[in-house]
Amino acid sequence: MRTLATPAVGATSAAARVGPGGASPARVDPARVEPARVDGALLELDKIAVTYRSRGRPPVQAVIGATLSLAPGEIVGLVGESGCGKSTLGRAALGLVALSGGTVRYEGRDVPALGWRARPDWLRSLQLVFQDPYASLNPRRRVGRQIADAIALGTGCRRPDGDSGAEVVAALERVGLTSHVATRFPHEFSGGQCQRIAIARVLASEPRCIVADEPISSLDVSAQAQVANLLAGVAAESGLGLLFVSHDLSVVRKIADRTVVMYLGRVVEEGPTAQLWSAPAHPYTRSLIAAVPEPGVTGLLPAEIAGDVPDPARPPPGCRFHPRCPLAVERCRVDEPPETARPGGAAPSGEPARSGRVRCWRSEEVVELGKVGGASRASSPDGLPDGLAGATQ
Amino acid sequence: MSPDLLAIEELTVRLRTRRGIRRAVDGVSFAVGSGEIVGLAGESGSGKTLTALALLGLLPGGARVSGRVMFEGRDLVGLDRRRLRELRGREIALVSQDPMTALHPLLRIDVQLTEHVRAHLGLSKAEAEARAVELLAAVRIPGPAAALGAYPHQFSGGMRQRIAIAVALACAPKLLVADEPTTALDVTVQAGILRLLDNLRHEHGFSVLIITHDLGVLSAVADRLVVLYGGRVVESGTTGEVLASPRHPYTRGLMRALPGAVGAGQAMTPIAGSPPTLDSMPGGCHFHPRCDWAVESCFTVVPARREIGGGRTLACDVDPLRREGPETAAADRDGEPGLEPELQR
Ligand SMILES: Nc1ncnc2c1ncn2[C@@H]1O[C@H](COP(=O)(O)OP(=O)(O)OP(=O)(O)O)[C@@H](O)[C@H]1O
Ligand SMILES: Nc1ncnc2c1ncn2[C@@H]1O[C@H](COP(=O)(O)OP(=O)(O)OP(=O)(O)O)[C@@H](O)[C@H]1O
Ligand code: SF4
Ligand SMILES: [Mg+2]
Ligand SMILES: [Mg+2]
Repeated sequence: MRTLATPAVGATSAAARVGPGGASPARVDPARVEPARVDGALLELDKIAVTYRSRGRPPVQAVIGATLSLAPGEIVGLVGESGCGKSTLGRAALGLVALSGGTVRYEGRDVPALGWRARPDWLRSLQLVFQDPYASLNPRRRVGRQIADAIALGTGCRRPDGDSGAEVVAALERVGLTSHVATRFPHEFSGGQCQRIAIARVLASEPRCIVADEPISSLDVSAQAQVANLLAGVAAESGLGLLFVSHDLSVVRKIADRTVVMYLGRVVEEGPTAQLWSAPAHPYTRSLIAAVPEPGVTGLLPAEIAGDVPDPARPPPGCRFHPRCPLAVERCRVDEPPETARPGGAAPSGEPARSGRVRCWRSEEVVELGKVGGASRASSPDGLPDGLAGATQ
Repeated sequence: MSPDLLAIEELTVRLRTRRGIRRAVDGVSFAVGSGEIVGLAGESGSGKTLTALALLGLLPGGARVSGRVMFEGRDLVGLDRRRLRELRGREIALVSQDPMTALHPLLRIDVQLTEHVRAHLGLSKAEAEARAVELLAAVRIPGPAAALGAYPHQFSGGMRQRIAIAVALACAPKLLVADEPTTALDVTVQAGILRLLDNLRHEHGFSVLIITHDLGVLSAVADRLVVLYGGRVVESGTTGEVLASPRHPYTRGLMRALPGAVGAGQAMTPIAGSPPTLDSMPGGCHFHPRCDWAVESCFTVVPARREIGGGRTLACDVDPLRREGPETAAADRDGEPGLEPELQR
């Protein structure tokens, strides 16, 4: 076995789970996956920094000081433009990249940077779902066989009862597929079906936490809805934590309990999804929301953000967003804003007290602007009411 | 009304697959008026790209086309290659999903922009360069004169797509065919490109055929929509009306699957099953295996596309508006996001 020696489990009840050598009962009921009973966070990323160094190029600080936590049963959406470091942070959570700072804790233990090496048993319940479902499945193995492999992995070493036995069928049914799928090969399925198979395989290993990196980005609208609903359903029903990386804000809005917004390696805003949408506290969050075209609202052009994302190897001084920020003032060009509590704004009643964090000198004013509405999109290309932007430039 | 710039009539594209000859585009008809933006919508494999390639005369080798593609009164189907190539350079331009297919990675921007202009419009070098700067400014490239000396890789994805649009606009085409022009881009960059297309068509008066599966994009820029399913037009009309009151069960399904269509916290409703492939194309109405309203005739009879007033067309005889909601039909299936019947739980 490739099992590594693991330290004592401490306060978590992970030890209560069936260990690799223990006799595990036949697990045909997918709903029986026990949620980890960790107090508070399941996955904790604390001040993560990742720097990529390649020869002949300046080092790229892909992630700087990013803090994020995930509780059992919680869905956290991670959004931001291409290159802002979403995948890097997701990979850091899984111990796939070397950190230049910070710590990752999973169920209370430090996650080592293992790269693609074998994972110790206690880390096997932390799993990854990729964007390209075909790439994550073996094209030459039948679907049932791959799911049986995953079940074997989840239970330590025991093979389930055949490649189309009750356990495999239960795993397929959990994602809305039937036993007929088991004897087929991945290429016989559409992208959406294949992603469900990939998810069935991941779920078969009984994860308690999943990092999904753009799991629906390569799918059609209808398949996106299928897969997003599936993941959200699994999180709710089996209490697993889901870090959902996506550049599709509208889907994140639908399924995420909390949303984390990244810009150029920094977490710029984090908070309950509903609050972030009803009153974003960071100008960048506002711009992102205003850029989403709304189907059904015809003739309303989405708002654009001026300029391009700067070269991450040479981030601007001060606030990283200042060259594109319509609200930037002198201070923004010089001092980087610290992370502060998100101003309350117009929080919908009944929201939890924890209302998140933001990195912006002017977040109080931004939050006052409230919801990104149709009017602001239509009136100005950057989605800001004319008064505020004009007054400060 | 001015005569249509482009009128596609009963366009059919036959392709050879491993199991025989299949119609990937099956009797598609629609028109694009001058100055109009028409959106071609539909899921992956619905025949959007093949329709565009057919009208540009760029179909792959084995493909056979029938029907008519009337561009300013001339039928492009059957036009010889040389004439088509001329037309493509000057009057019809293509912008595709990957800007790098339009831009040569090793050639400087000025070469790519000016050669094109000089070849087609017969301008002098200086004139062509002036025009190139003008074009880059039109697509909002900062410092257009300096940008001429750069190579494509020195620009971000969004800027490359804007430069590809500049190349497409170089000869002042009458029709711009944009196949998924923003699909590979961030929403923030997409917003810029959509605004650009909308502004440019007002300034220069060209028409746009924009192809995308993203109804959000179409609702922002398209004047009219043509919805494809399994190679056939299932519904068309003005964007506002089609999206506000979709009549075809497929269009209705698409709208319900969108995250924006229902309130936060409410689940999106996927369409049962997945789109057919050329080799698994069902008979009758292509959509019937996934349709909540299907009646017996849908399994065998291809519904005729008919006018339903207000410039709209519909290829479905079962009007969802006049029948019980899908809840009744969906209930028998357990509301399960389904599959092909035999794979359904
Ligand atoms: N292996 C690597 N070596 C060097 N630089 C890298 C590497 N991987 C990513 N980067 C750089 O790190 C930054 C963050 O990349 P990352 O892939 O995390 O972004 P992302 O937010 O996931 O973007 P996308 O939406 O395009 O997937 C980018 O500037 C990228 O170019
Ligand atoms: N060269 C080809 N040979 C055989 N089949 C093809 C060929 N090109 C396309 N097809 C098939 O024809 C159908 C229509 O393809 P098309 O590319 O037009 O779809 P699309 O609507 O553009 O989809 P997407 O959104 O994925 O780009 C698909 O089923 C596709 O697999
Ligand atoms: S700190 Fe200044 S530049 Fe940065 S987002 Fe806030 S207002 Fe804009
Ligand atoms: Mg990524
Ligand atoms: Mg296509």
